Amino acid sequence: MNNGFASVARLTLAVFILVVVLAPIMLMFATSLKGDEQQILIDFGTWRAFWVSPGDISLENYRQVLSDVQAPLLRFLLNSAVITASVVVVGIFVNSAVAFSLSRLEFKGRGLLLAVFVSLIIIPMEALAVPLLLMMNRVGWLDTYQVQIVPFIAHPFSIFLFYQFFTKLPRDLDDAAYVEGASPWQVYWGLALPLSLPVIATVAILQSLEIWNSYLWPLMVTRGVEARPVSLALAQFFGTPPPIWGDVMAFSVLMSLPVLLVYLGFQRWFIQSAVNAAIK
Amino acid sequence: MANVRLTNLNKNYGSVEVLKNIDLEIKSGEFCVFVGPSGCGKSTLLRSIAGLEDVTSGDVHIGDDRVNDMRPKDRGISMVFQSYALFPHKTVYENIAYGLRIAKVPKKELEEKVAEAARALKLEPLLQRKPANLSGGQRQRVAIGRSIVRNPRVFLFDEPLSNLDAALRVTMRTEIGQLHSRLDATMIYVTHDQVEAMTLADKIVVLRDGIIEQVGTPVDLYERPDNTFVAQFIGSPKMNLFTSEDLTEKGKKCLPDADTLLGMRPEHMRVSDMKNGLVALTPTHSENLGEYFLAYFESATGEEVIAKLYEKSVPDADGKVYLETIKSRLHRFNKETGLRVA
Ligand SMILES: Nc1ncnc2c1ncn2[C@@H]1O[C@H](COP(=O)(O)OP(=O)(O)OP(=O)(O)O)[C@@H](O)[C@H]1O
Ligand SMILES: [Mg+2]
Repeated sequence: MNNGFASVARLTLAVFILVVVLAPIMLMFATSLKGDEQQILIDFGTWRAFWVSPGDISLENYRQVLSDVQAPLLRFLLNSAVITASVVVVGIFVNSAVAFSLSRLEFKGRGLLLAVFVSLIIIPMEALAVPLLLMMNRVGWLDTYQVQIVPFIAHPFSIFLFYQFFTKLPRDLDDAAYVEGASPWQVYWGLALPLSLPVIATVAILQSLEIWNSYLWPLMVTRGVEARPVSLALAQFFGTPPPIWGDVMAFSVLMSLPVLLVYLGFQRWFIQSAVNAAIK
Repeated sequence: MANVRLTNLNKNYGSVEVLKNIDLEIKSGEFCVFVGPSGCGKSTLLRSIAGLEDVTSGDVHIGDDRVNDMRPKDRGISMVFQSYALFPHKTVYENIAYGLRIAKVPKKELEEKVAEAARALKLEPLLQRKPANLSGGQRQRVAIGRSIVRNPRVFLFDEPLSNLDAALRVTMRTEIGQLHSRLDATMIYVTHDQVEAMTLADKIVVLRDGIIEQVGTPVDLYERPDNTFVAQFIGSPKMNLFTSEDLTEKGKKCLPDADTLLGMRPEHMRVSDMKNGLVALTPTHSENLGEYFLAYFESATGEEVIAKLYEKSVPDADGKVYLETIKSRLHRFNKETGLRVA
């Protein structure tokens, strides 16, 4: 009886949370598939805003968004993808290598260096933006990919996560590998990195979200469409009145999909390694 | 196969001296065991030979090479760790093949060597498993497999069996012994376990606080310990040491003077009587282990004394139990220095 009540309560709560989380996403999807802008405005006041009947599905909004010459969405998506992928992939290697050296090499000032890295975590991007902008302007990198990639590769929080993991990795593993003839590079590349898969997944999700959604920095350093990321394009698109909701939502869907896919991919990986760790 | 020579070896961590003036020669093909209390520097000594620790001063020779400045991989050694240190993301096969892959051994030769090691260690059905899916004994065999495929000159083991349960330890001990005779290799083995030391070793090195207390065959150490530390460290339960106050008139005659301790091993003591006994002891309690009794006593000076007796001891009229042992089983040590006397 009591138990039954508890499970009903739990189920209700779960449904509630699901609805709260899914509602905006449903709204976005449904609206993006409605070809008639008038109908969208009428629906907004009702529950039909979250739903599109299969008969009314139209890809018109997507066609429009994708064919807009003024704002080449595919180009923006490509820009974002290149920038995010570069930061994440290079970042995984650089940050894990830094963390591995910090965890294994003993040198004077190691503790201090680590403390500096950790304290860098709390400095917000906004505080660094202006001096960084001046530097980037000086090297003539404005309106490029690299201006959006290079400054973000080194990521203190990722370094910290990797460091935490590596210090817990038994030193006997390193020693066994050294005895077997491995070089420090082989220990990093062949042991430490593959074993840190859960950390890699976490770091990849964190960093890719940060970069994909970043707004302020791209706004400061890009002018034309060549290097502009999709986040910025959406804001511009949205900011041009009057908003055409169908198009805005189609745009939003196209912007969210890649992140969602990446996340789902990594999540599977993430859960797998968590399970493996539990078995050991 | 090669000999190992340590000359005047010192190792400090900062101001802490962990190894002090270690001189030791381990012959080619010998099975050498390091024993000693926890923290005495056994692992450090082993790791210094492996090249995983830099020594502060002194020389390490393996074969004809002075290896101080060589990296572990160039020393021709292999090592088995207490934690096994298997690579969790690699299969058993890849764990065993690890060193060969790094050495870029040709594929065919590599396969043959891994297969041979797997056969010898009965690992054939497990080759495609990951270490997480193996039992402790199987993991240890994989670790040994990884160490034998490269045909090292010297095998190093750091307490390889201490994570196994008692029964498995006995089996693995035998297997390691067989491995030694089959490979005819130089092996250096660290252990806490007396029985492992006594059964496996050609030569035992007893360490205390970074100093070698004695080197010798198991029988040497058991029958002629150089000092009270070794006397009490080798053998279980430990050797009883008596001062002249503990002894009877007859017992006192066994001592040259009052500055000498008389040592008797529990397993050599027999119940005697007031006239023939060497020590008079107050019984406290006794444990019946079926095959024998472990009888506990208190000596006149208040020390606990243990004797391994095959009959239940009955106190004499004065409430004391009198024990004796044959002359050749008596040990004498200087009270001050702890060194063996004659
Ligand atoms: N990296 C280090 N820094 C400082 N002291 C150390 C370090 N490694 C070991 N020691 C010290 O050196 C001494 C010897 O350690 P070692 O590990 O060789 O002992 P052990 O004989 O193997 O002990 P156990 O039987 O517990 O394994 C210990 O007192 C230990 O505290
Ligand atoms: Mg040790």
